[in-house]
Amino acid sequence: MLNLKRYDRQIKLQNFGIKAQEKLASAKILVVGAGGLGCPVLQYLTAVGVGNIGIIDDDKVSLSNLHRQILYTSNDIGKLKTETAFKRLSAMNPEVKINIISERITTKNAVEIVSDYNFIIDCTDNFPTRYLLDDVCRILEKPLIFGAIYQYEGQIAIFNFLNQEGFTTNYRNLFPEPPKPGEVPDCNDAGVLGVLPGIIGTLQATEVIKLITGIGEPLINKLMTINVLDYQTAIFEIPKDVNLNFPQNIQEFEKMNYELHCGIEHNDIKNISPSEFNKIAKLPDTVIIDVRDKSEYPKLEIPYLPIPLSELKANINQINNRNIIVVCQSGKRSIVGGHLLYQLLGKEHKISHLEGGINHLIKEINE
Amino acid sequence: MATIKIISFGRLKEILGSDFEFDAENTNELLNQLNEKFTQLKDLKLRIAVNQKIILENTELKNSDVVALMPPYSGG
Repeated sequence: MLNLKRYDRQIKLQNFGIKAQEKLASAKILVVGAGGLGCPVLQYLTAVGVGNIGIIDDDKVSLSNLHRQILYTSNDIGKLKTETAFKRLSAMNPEVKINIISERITTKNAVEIVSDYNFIIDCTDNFPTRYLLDDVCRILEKPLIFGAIYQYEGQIAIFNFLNQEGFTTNYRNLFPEPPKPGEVPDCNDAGVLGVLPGIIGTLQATEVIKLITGIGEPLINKLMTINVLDYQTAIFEIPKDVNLNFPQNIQEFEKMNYELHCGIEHNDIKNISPSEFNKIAKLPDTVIIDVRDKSEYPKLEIPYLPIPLSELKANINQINNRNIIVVCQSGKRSIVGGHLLYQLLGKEHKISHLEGGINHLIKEINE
Repeated sequence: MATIKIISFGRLKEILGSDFEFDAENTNELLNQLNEKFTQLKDLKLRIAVNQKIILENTELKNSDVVALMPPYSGG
């Protein structure tokens, strides 16, 4: 039974009423990513009375999340985001059924998880997961509410939902191919204003409420952009392009490697974890190259060669070792450096890069 | 030749600067000229919209058209 008192101010709205509230109560929404965008989406969907909410994320709360991920407190650092979110959201509104999945979404689990929901919200923070989610939602015909942020700007769109002209679009209609690694800096590298994901996430929640209840004009096949510095906003029409080459069915989807697809994995460059790094760094004939700018901290505590990425090509003669490990802050510039070294030095060298960068190394040490 | 207004977003705005006017006959020619003038632009993935419609192919430009250049964002 609907709790009419809890939702009274919403039910009172013209064009809303009990019917719209009942539609929300029977909706099943999957929120992929419980970070900057995920927090406001989850808070509002819980507050407004969506019946079923799924949360998928494998990340833990860290101190640098807290300026924008407002579901979490200083006491939650080191805890799983899903479990912390579950506790807080259940307290906010015990009438909502919340299901948490503390895993990363992959080609192995995506079909099963996405199939359980009617609407999917993209609150992810990286291109491989965005393309993965876009492909699986298109194949399973699940409406996808997309949101993404950069410093002071945001993008919002609705994909896989029939518009009045009878066609659907998806993220690949907007950006057919992923950008190269390092081409588009993320929040870790470029920074982000704390309130920005709050604004964009709230708009994603607004759009899914509009889709479910049938009110207003949702951003179907439209991309809205917002800049919070000058409030310049624009809405662009996304065209249907039929000649796009993407996985066509579940079988093809499950064979995809999205890390490879987005250039984050390279067949000839090995991704190494912090524990592997500590072992490999000690091997003979090995050099560690730090491709960060010289002003970036913390420095490594073992011998290394500092060559900023922009100077790598000019200093290629300094590198004479057979084993090369490239490192940077977050693991993005190091993969770009690895690609460059592979082009310049070829197969004679064994090139690897530290996945997640020095940030990941420090996190492992602290845990 | 048409005089158009260029607006750009995200990292493209950092490279191109704020909104400005430019002369070009069509979108292909516009991109070629911008690539020459701003070498950092080269090979960056971007989408072009003319008067708020994202285009699929080379498009003729008219005086006072607004051309938007958009990069993808990954942050969440």
